Order: sequence, then structure tokens, then C-alpha cells
Amino acid sequence: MNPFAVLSVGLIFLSFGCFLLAFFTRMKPYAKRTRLLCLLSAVLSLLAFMLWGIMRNL
Amino acid sequence: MPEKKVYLTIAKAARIAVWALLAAALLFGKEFVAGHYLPCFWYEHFGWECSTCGASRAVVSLLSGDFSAAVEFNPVVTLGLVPVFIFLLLSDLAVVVWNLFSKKRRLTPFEYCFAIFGGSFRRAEQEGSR
Repeated sequence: MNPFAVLSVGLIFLSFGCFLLAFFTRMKPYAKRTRLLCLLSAVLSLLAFMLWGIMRNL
Repeated sequence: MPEKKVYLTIAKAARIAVWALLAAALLFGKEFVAGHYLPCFWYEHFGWECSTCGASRAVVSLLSGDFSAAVEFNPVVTLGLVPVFIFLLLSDLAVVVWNLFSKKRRLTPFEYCFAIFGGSFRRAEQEGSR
């Protein structure tokens, strides 16, 4: 399998983990930070997904 | 409309749409999807495959039970997005069923998606704490 596909799948699962963390800590005092982490990792996984789209042609 | 109602209404509409699409896919089957593949704009114009090329074929293969073909068509959608999507849907269904029998209303991760991307955090927190 393409290493960029592996990277993309890994980042998708990482961002999903961050989403679950943000969900379960939504009423904690540090909720804002976990939410930010979730959004940042979502952006990262989107970039990795686009990178996989570029690299699958090469 | 108050902020809370907006994101919860969007979440409800999205839930109905997703479940209806899933039911249609399971009822009318892969033959319909397989007969109506959407052409990829990027591939048609530039001759390059995009990130989601092969996703429909992968879903049709998954519905047919051919996992290796699905991975061959698009590994990221098959191994990454489909499991996450299934988990979100099943957890949503579980909480919706739970809410039917419980007086305390619980927020589902699916609804929280809309809160996170719609910016309704405080409302989501209040909703979850009630």
C-alpha cells in the first residue's frame, strides 16, 4: 500500500481520537484546548488526504 | 432561531438524510450505485486521479463483501473514513435509542460534530450537562 495512504489513514484515526477526546472532555475546564487539538488534527488529516491524492498518481 | 436549535436541527436533518441514504443503498443495492457512477471532474479534465477516486467502487465492493477489492480501489476511504463513519452512526443510533427511554437528554458525538464546526460550544456544553 502507498505510504501516503498509510499516513492519511493514521492521521484520520488520530483526528478521530482527538474528536472523541474533545467530546468526552467538553465540560472540563480544558475543553477549549482539546477542541482546538481536534480542529488542528482534522485540518492535518485533510491535508494528508489531499497529499495522498497527489502522490497516488506519481 | 436560538443557536442551540439551529445546530440540533441541522444535526437532525443530517441524521435523517444519512440514514435514508444508507437504507436506500441497502434496499436498492449496489446495482443502482454501480449503474450510476459519477464521473470525476478532476480525472476527466486533467487525467489525474483525485483523493476520492474509487470511493464509490470501494463502497460497492464493500457492500458485495469484497474487502480486498475495496482496499485496492481506495485504501484511505475503505480503511479510514468508512470505519469512522460507521462508528459515528452506530454511536448516534445507540444514544438516540437511549434518549427514548431516559429522561436525561444526552448529546451524541454526531450532534457534537455540528456543534464543533458550527461554533456552538457553550450550547453543546449546556446540552450535555442537562
